[in-house]
Amino acid sequence: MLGRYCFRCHGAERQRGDLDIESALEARPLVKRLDLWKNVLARLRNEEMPPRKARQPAAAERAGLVSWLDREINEFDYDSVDDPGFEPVRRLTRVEYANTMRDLLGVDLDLVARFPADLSGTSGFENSANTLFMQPDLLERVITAAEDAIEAALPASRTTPEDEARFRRIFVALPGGDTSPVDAARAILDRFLLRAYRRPPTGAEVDEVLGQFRSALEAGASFEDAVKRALRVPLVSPHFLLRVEAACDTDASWQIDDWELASRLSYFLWASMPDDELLELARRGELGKPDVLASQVDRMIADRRSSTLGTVFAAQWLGFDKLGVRVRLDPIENPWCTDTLMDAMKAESAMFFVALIRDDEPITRLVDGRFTFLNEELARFYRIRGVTGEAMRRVALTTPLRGGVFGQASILATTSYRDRTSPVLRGRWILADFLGTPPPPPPPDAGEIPEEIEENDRLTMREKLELHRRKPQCRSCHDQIDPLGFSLEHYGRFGRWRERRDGRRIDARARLPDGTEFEGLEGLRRVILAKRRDDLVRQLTRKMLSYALGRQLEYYDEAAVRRAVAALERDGLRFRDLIREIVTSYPFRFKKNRATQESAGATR
Amino acid sequence: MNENWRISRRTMLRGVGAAMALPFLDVMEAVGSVAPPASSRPVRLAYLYIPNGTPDGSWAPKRATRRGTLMRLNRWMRPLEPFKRDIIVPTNMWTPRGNGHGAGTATWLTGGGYDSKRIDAGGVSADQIAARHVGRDTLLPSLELSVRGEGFFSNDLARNTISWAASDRPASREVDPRAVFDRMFRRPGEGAVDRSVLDIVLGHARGLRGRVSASDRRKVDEYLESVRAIERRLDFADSRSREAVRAGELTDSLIRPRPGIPTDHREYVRLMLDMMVLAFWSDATRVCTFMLDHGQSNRYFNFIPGVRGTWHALSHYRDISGKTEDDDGKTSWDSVESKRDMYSAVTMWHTEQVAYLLGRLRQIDDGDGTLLDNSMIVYGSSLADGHEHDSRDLPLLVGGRAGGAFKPGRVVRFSRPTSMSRLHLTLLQRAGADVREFGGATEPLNELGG
Repeated sequence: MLGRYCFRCHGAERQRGDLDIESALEARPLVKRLDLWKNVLARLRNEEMPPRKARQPAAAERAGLVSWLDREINEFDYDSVDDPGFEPVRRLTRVEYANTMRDLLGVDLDLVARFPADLSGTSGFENSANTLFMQPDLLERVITAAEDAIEAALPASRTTPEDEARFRRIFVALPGGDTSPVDAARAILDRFLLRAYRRPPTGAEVDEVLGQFRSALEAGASFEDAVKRALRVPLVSPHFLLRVEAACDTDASWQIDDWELASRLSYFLWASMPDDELLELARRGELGKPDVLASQVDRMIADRRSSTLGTVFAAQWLGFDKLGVRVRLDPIENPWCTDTLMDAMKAESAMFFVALIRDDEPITRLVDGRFTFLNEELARFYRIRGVTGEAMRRVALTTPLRGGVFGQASILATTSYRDRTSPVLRGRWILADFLGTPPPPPPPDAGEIPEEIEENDRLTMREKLELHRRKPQCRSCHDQIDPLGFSLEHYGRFGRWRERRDGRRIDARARLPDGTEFEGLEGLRRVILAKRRDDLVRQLTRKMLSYALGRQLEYYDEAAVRRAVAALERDGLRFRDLIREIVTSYPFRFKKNRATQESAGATR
Repeated sequence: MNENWRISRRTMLRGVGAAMALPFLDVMEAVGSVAPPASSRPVRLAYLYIPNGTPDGSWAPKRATRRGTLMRLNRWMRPLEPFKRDIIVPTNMWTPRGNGHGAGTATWLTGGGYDSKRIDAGGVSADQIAARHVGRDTLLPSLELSVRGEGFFSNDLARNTISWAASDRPASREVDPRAVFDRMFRRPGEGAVDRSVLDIVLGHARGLRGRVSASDRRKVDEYLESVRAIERRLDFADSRSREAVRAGELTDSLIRPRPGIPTDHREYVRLMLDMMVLAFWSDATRVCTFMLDHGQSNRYFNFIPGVRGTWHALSHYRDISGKTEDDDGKTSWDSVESKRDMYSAVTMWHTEQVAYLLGRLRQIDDGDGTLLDNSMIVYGSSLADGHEHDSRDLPLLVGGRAGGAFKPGRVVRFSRPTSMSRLHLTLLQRAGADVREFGGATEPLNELGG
């Protein structure tokens, strides 16, 4: 029946609106192309398709098709799919590389300032394997950075206790007594390679690097300098720069080993390499034990390195990483808009997010948390008294005007235009990014290219608004989007409180399509928690799992998502449980090879 | 490559560089007078991209003869007036499979369609194919330049990529003038690169390749290719240092750009164009792309007299309310005409930059003619009218004579929409690449030869 009414325009021959239902129908189960089928189902249900001038199915035919599609995509039994997915080889991101070098060598240098930027695709996270490319200019900068970092970490003359400590940490053996220089070097390199490769090196790997040591020594270098020369090899090696997991020639899924688990954990929770404790547990084969894993997660969250869950994960999920980089004002025209203020805004959101995890708060505190992090400059911006100094600190909120992400300057700024606020952008941010329920693409007669709509996150709003103005059928979506944004109109383009806009008193009242009325930030919080709590929990779970896996989620991950959400529901939606659920989930612990034609791209 | 020629140019440069502590531009003045080599000169290929299209009608030459000879350009093309005998303006060209700000940018040079989920531009871009065929003889197979993005979408992959090394892998791109210079004239890694280290890690990658799954092998291959590219540059650097024994310290005497991105956008763009000229002049590469901005640039061009508002907002010139979602809120316009004129002025500023490039290339002797004669400089956008989001009749020009193969000074009118893929095929063949097909096109545009 789809064939009779749809394929003429949306088939293998012709793809109006870039939609090929004929090929999509071959990809079973249909949930593989969930977004596509949801769209088809909505169009059929609303009788928007087939277009009026084309042949129409009888009402019974339409109803039958709708109910079949509804079953196929909305009642699909995800538990019947046994596929943990495949984490591909991926290069360390800029941030991961910088953190790994810091933890490996013990020096925090700005090594990546001149590295090319990592561009992002549709997953929204920079750690997504399919956008992390290895290119000559990057490798060249890695080579230079390795040299600089070794010199900085291991200076020829050690003047401070820190220098000495770093030296001891890497030079775990020294020649003398019964220990020959080669034996000492072997011990040093054996240890260093373990940490750099995040797994035990083979004897041949150590010998090869030892060769570098030997030839340097023979050329007249001192013991220390010869070791330093040898250290350059691992810092440029693909074993270091790429995260590689062992291949397994099987059609079944298999469990990753403890070394791999250590890396998955550390890059998820720390955006950095595993530390000695994780490596030791992996060596003993104990890391995968449930109680060990649980206590390691607790330890890792308590560690300061877990701040990357705020500065990287939350920043990229919620989009506030753009602040200061791409969202900023001319500081000469706007002297208040300083780099330090924008840094504080980002730090506020990142620290708030991490505090919720460390305190094991319910996920809903993202919306209604009653504390935040401020320094003097940001507190003054918010007109909150009693905070002095540059350092960010935790502040309990007494004002109802702040609290939760919706009241945070970083979010309010990144969802505004350069010189004014936009209720549409803010509303869309809440629906799409925060809740994971983006408004559907414009109706088919909107005359736009679906690709553009799909990949745009922001500027298509312009086109949508233009359509909105022209076409009544756009109202239905904007009626959902706009009220959410209207409630935040008291917050200016960088989140500053205002009573008036363009001389007129602000009206922050809003009304949802179902008739619910609410007002301002407090109203918005209440509405979101009352009506959209489940969407938030699900979205955070999906986003965090995607980040933990370094890939976009696929239909077969849905079972893991549902299982995690169910577990969260059982015990108060705690952040800590979310992380525990993720690190014990099927896709996090297992993997499975891709069928070859699928990896070649059967989705087209 | 004629060794003597190389040395004579470099030695010449050394003298100039030592004498003048001037911006790079002035060195270029001197370069033009260097004696040309005897051997026949290779053809250079460059693609310059601008986003946001041009207003309907602004890219139509004012007067041309029936046979297409360009007589007068229109007011918005005026910077090209001195070059009207050096350019071809093809009309009715388009990219049938992808257009707009994202997909159109990503596929401008691939002739394919864009899959944003899988990140796939439907093919290897024309410049990268050229690099594979003709890049073997030069220090760098190709050079991919871009200005650093501003505003939203600055790190969106599709809007920032015209060069694709594989259909799902962007070529690396360089936004820092000094880094471009260093790639051409300094040893990789500032001397930090040690061949014995490279040999070992190359071995690591080869070993890894045999152990990982088929789909992962490609990632390891990227690494292998990167190591080889660095080795190749080392080879070049080493052979240069042998020359240096005879000719003295060569490359260090060239004036190296200051680190970082110039804050003045005009200075920045000129510097990048100078790098391109320098690359072609020194034969560091014969293939170059330059994105003059990302595919949906919202940059301000307030330095152009009379222009207010951001580029993409200006491109939607029919709406003058100042209240559309990507207007900045403080700019509004009196009339559609004045807003369109500002939009045109921004395009014209970019056209002026291209004219600057053509002028530089025309000043430099290269064999029988000028460097411009031996070049194919393509300039255009993936959109026609920015407000309408037209994908047909894209603004486009081809500068240079392709070593005598093209007959410029004309508008070449195609009666039906003609795929850019045919243009790419033509350019690839003229660049010396042995290709019969590009993006589905098999017929080159013989019309460019007159």
